[in-house]
Amino acid sequence: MSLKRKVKSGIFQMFCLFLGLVVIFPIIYCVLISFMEPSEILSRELHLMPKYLYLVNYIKAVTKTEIFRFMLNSFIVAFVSSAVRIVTSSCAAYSFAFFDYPGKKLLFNLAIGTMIIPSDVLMVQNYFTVAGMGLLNTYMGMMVIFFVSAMNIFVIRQYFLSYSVSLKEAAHIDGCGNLRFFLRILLPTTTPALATVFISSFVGTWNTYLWPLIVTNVNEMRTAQVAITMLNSEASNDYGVVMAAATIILIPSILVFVIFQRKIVGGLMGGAVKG
Amino acid sequence: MKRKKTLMKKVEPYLYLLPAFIFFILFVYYPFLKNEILSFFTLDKFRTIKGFAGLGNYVKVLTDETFIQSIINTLIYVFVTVPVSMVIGYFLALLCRKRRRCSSAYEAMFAMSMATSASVMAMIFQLMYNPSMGIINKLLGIQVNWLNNPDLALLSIMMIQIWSNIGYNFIFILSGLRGISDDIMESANVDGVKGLQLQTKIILPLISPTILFLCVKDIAYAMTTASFTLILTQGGPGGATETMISYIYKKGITGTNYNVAFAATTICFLLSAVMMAASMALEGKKVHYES
Repeated sequence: MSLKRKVKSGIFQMFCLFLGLVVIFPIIYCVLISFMEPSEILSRELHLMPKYLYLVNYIKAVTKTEIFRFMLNSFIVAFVSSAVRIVTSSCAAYSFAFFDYPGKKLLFNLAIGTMIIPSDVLMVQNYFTVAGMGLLNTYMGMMVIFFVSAMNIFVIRQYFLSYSVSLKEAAHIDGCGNLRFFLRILLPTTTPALATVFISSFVGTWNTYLWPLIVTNVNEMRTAQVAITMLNSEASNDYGVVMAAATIILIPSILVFVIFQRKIVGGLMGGAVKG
Repeated sequence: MKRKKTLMKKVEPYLYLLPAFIFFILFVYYPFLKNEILSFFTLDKFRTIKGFAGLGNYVKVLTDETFIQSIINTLIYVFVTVPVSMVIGYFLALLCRKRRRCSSAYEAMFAMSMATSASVMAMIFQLMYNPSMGIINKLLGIQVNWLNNPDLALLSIMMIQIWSNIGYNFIFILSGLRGISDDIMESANVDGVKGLQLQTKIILPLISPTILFLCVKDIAYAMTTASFTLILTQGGPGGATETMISYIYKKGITGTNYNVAFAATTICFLLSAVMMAASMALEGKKVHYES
């Protein structure tokens, strides 16, 4: 009985692993192609395994394009905008979670209401705002529209709400002011939660395409996500090089994802969903 | 002195809101209102107001066949990609509900698409769809020009979107499923609730908040989709893959037809707001949601 169950479970897991490989096939395909010679890629026969580890595509991707510059750009944009977002969102969440004041409900609705206005819809107006500030082709221009996120405010507020107001009152009795309570008690104790919000926000901004495309038109300011789509024409349809570059770009986000998988989900969901 | 302190006390909560609201106003509310107002005026290509247009811009954009086509394409996109990727995510999550020895390996694989970006996936699928070199034609032994065939181009793009959504939907539904207590599952088992009945009567209602959350998010995302179109087809062939956002992009960013772009922006916003509200209302009746 037990043996039969074990075998069954083993077969089931084999099946799931196989299914997993099917699901990530596009990524495997990209990696395999990146190690192929042009003639192998062009061949009309079906073949998936590279004949040998052909590294020229990677050498070309690194030397003929500024791929590391592009990735650095992406990193700066994703890191700084996520960091600023955490600051603006946690301040706002603190106000919404711990204070009572006239207009709070309206302001909260105004903040959360921005979720129904997707930022891509506003791209033309925002483009002219950013251009008017002289921020085209700058990191600031690429980041500035990501400096606040209603979703993050909502999630962080949910974390804060799990603290009782009496904790804050107790801190007051001990002579601890509001700002001090926020900086010295609330933020340090919610650091794990804030970290998850940061990581999920990082992966999100790292992967954005449309906005960085709109506000940059010089090569050295391109983010990796924008640059990869332009390699195709530059490298004259050399798919091997494009796939090598795609693999290089995928590595950091997949690594971050695999390491922080649980945290990312936590950060996205937070208290938003109670199932 | 004391008065100053109470004033400070009154102002303080608003000060914490200030940084967030500066950006909300600058990049959400201001552009939104400006767009609404300007959409009723005639602008030249330098965005100088030339006169009041009334509903003229809206009439113009709504009689533009390309825009109508882009609305239809976007709606097809939403109604196909959102449910299909949800169902796939759901089935994958069901497979993983019980933790097993290798489950973290296949869970990571099922969820992987979450970590990939639209542009990298667009490049990979572009090669996979390639008529002569691509793996899809080689596997199927056919000669199809996926991205250049007017009947297949939108479908091809939707396939990439579905693939990209799977990871996200999977991981959320899985954590919803794991949140169901064993007691409930056991008592269902004792009562002999099985199969489809177990799914529809017990599991689905319990994870409905997760499904709702995903629906709203997926719909919002799909309503404003443009990346795959802009990267792979530029809206072609013959407008077959044009979406609302790619249309606005062409009119307002690469082109200078602001009259049409601003009116299209309003229509795009209204449609996506309606779609989101509809999904909330539809689910809201069945969802047991704690605020």
